[in-house]
Parts: sequence; structure tokens; C-alpha cells
Amino acid sequence: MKLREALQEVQRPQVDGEPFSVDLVTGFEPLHLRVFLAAHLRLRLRVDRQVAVRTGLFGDLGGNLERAIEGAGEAPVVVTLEWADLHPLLGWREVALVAAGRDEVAFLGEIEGRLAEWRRPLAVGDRKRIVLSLPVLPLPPWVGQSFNGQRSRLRLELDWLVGQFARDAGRRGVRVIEAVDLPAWEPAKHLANGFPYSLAFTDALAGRLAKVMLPAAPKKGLVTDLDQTLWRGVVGDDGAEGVHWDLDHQARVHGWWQQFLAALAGQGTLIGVASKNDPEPVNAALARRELLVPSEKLFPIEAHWQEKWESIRRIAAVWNVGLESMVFVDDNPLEIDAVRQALPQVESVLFPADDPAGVVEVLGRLRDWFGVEAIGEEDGLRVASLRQRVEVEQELAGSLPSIEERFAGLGSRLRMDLRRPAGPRALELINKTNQFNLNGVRWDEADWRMWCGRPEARVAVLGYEDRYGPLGNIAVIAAEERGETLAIRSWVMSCRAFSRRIEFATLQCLLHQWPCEKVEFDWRQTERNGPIATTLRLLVGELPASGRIEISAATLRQNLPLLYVANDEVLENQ
Amino acid sequence: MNAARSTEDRLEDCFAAVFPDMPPAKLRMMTMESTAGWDSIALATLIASVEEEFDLLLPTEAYPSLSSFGAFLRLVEETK
Repeated sequence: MKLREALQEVQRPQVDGEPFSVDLVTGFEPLHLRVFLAAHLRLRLRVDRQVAVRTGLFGDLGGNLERAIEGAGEAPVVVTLEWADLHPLLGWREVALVAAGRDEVAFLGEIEGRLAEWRRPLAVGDRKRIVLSLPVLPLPPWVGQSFNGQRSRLRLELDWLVGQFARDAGRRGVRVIEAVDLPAWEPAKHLANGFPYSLAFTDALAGRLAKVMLPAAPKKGLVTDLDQTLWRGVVGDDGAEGVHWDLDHQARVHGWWQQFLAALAGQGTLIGVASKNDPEPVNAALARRELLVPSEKLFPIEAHWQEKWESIRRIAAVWNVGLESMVFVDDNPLEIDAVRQALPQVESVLFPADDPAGVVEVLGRLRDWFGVEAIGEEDGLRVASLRQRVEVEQELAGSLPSIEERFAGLGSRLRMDLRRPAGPRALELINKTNQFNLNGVRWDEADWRMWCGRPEARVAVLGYEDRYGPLGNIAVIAAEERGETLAIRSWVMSCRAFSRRIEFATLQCLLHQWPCEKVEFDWRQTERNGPIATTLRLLVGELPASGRIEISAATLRQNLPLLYVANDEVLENQ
Repeated sequence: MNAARSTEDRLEDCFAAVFPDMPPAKLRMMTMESTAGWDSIALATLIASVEEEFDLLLPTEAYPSLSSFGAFLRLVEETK
């Protein structure tokens, strides 16, 4: 983005709503970083709003940090640290004497003390989104005596101090960004107006800061090809033992791919297989013990001679996720083109098996698409619970015994977590659920935290398990208690929990926990929320396209089907 | 596309981006004295935007003279 484009983006008239506020903490003149940051943030906001970037005083990073953290409510904070913030001797504009025989230990102690002061305000990183960038400007050559390409001892000490500071910040929930790989410094401008960075670097830095501040919803599932992708060789021709993914067979990039898939599966990403092959050799190869991705993590496996886009469609149905949440990876450009044409919503990526650098690039791109900030209990359960859902649906669809007896036999147990503040899983579920979603409204983290802090706000996170095993936290209701009315603003449930009447049990628990005369649903039809519409019709009758739906709590209770769910745990703040 | 547009037109785009409230007809007559909001930040933004638009570096010693649309135009023509 050019500076002029950034200015135009920032000045575009606001559609509605309050501006999105963010504090930008720097010790230098924030000039163009302020503009680029506002522009990139605006492009990433879920709802178009203007962005207000507040800045502080020149040369006072510590004071700016204190003020931003302690005086700005829930507004997120961007901190851009530079060497000069640590000590004027490390800066290019600042004037500081280089004393002969300077005591290096005392000098480093001074810097360490300053960093220690900043640790305290950054300790709120788990309650407030803080994004930190680390120094990128070169150190002046009168510091530390680096020469002939050898890193000086002082520089090593400084790197260690800053690294330790960043590690502590990261442990407290602060998001530390990776360095931008572009020339950063523009000395003439830095001296002229106090802003140190080149425009190209500033654009890239602001883009990265905004991306970490407002991350996109991660993709949910990846479908991989097998031959020349998961392994080198053609399993139908070479046999199960004739395909490879190791260094000895010049096939290590396929090992990378397997390790990468294993890591994705470990964080809860769904991994499926679409291969044009006979199933027998595929099953035999996937049964090999030295496979680097556990074969039980691959589900479902579509191995036959039908079109791959048909396989991907079926996999999407089993996973119950939208095609736009899926990525398909194959080494064959023809297959990639065919899927792109038939299913343009799916991100189709060519696996460049003969180009290790290309594979590294693909892995980096996919890492971004599938990145999650934290791995929760549910993530490890996802594939297992999808398999369970298929089993449950098969059992419930069976002829004997009666459907009510089968529901009763599930042994369903629901756990309600009413603690405040709600954990990150609540917002994650609200923002990524499409099908069982009351209105499709997404929340930015700062708004969510602000709303949760209101006295009338109520949030319930529901966990579930039955005799098939735990599903983890699968539903969230965010409501406001307004007199005798419980106004439900968000209600989402994971598709893994479908077909077990959990949605009705959720309402039953809610009415018990938060007694009221009337319930109001903030309903809006979206392209994909048919499943919750079906549930609501059973409860309240015909639905408008959007608007508030009111129903008395008594009628709602009457309209619930028979439930066999024990609500044996309610977690509340002490 | 830029090659077909005059230097004045392109410079006007830069000024319009930095001073979005200024009526288009007045952009070419702007001076620092007559324009509210033409401060050091606006000047630095203008300089960066102009350098980016024309892919050139304006000499820092000329910054103090950049106090009008006309002054920018002259310097860009000289520097190109």
C-alpha cells in the first residue's frame, strides 16, 4: 500500500458505529506508522469503522506505555520498541556522551532496569491485546565496537536483554511480532522529521501489526493428495512399501509435509485425504508405522477414481464445515485447476514436490492460514468427536430401540461455565461458527471485552460429554439481563454437537440459571445459519428474516423436547 | 497510467490525500500560511507522499522552502 492509498483508506467516510480505538506506543515520532496502522486495521475490521490511533509523547516510551495500558479501558495497544528507547546512547538522533572507560556493566544494568520497569504494564497482556515489535534499527558504530562482521559482546548482551524481555512479555500474553524482512532505516528522514522507517518498511510493519492485532479466522480443514504429495511415489504402482518420505530416498520434503500435517492435526485442524487410487494400497501405505502423521488423524479418506472435487465436497459434509474454510493441496496442476473451477471457494495449493524452497514457501503460507493462538481441550478432541458424531447419528437413526430410549441412553452431561471474564474459547467459537449461529455477528476482541464488563452482560460457555466421550466446550450464549427479559445477543454451537438435542438442553440450563419472564433472541438470517433457524422454528414458530424474536420463558420451556441431559456442573466466580 | 497524467495532476492527488477537506479547485493555490492544518506533520506526510508518487528523493535542505503547491511543483520538476 502506498502512503496516499493509506491516507485515503483512513479518510474514507465511516459507515456506522464507534471508531475502533488503538494506542500506538513509540518513543519516536509515529508519523507514517500511525497512518499505515490505521489503514491496515481498517481493512481488517469485520465491520467497517474508522480507526482512531492515539499516540503519546515523543521520546517517552515508558510514560506512553503506562498511560496507554492504565488509562485506556479495553483499547488494544501496539508497542514499537527501538534501541534508543533503552538508552539515548543507542540512538542516532539522541545526544549522549561516550565516556572513556565507560562501565559496561553499569550501562547494561541501566538498560535492564528500564526493561524491568516496562514488564509491569505489559503484564496485562492476557486481559488486553498488546502487540509488540522489537528493535530493528542498526546500532550506532560508536556503541559496542562491532566490526568485520563480528557481533560485539555488548550487542550480544543487548540482544539477550531484549530477548528475555520479549519472552517474558510473550508469557504474559503479549503478541510479539516476527521482524519484517525489509530495509528499515531511512537516515535522512529520521534526522529531518524524527520518523526512522522507510515507507515500504512502515507499510509492511503496520500490516503485520494489524494482522496480529486482528487475526483472520483460521481455516478449519485441509485435504491432501497422497502420491507425490504425502509421499514420493505412486502407491498403486510402487506398492505400500515402495513410497517414501525420507532423506535416503530424496523424499524428505514429503516428510516435512507429514510433520506439518501432524502439527496441524495436533492443534485441531481437520485433515482429510483425496486420492485417485484403489483403496487397498492406500490403506496399506497409511498403515505403515513410520508414517510421520498418525493415520488416525486423517479422516475421512477418499481413495477411489472419482473426481477430487467430489471427494472434497463429501469431506466438507462429514466435517460439517464450509468450503471457504478448506484448503486442498495436490502436486498435480490439473487436479488443482479442476478443483479451482468446480469449487472456487476452496483454497487450492500446488505442492511443488521437486522444489524444496517452494515447499517451504507453501508451508509458511499454510501456517498463516491455519494459525491459532492457543490450543484448547476441544482441539485435541475434534477428529475423534467427528467420528463419534457419525456413530451417534447412525445409532440414533437405527430402528431399535425407540429414539427417546436412544437419547436417554447417551448419558449426556452438560457443564456450564459462567465465570467472568469468559475465556478465549467463547469469542473464538462466536467468531468462527457459521451454521448454528443466531445472527452471524462477529465481535472484535476489544468490543467483546468491553461488553463482557457491563453489569447486565451474561456469558455461558457450555461443555458436553456423553458415553461416546467428551466434546469439550461446544456452545456459547451471550445475553443481557434487562429487567424481566433475557436478551440473547449471541448463541453459537459447534457443528460437532449437532443431533444430540444439546441446543435445547443449553436453553433449559440457561432458564434455570438466569430465571426470567421473557426471552428475546437477536435473530438474523444469514447464508449459512439454517441449522439454528430449524431449532428456533421448533421453539417459536415462523421466523422473520431478521429482528428480535420474543417468547415467554414459560412457552419456551413447554416447547422444549424431552431432554436427558444432566447439568451436573456449574462453574462461577468465587 | 501515471505517464499520461501531468505532474500537476499527480501532485494534486498527493495534496488531496493529505488535505481531504480542501475543495479540489483550491488545491493548486494552497500555501502554508493560508491553510489550517499545514503543520510539520502535514509537511512530512506531503513530502513522503510526493516522493513515493514520483519515485524520487527531495533534498532535505529544500524542505523549509516547501510552503506551497507551487513550491512543490517547482522542486519536483527540478528533481525529476
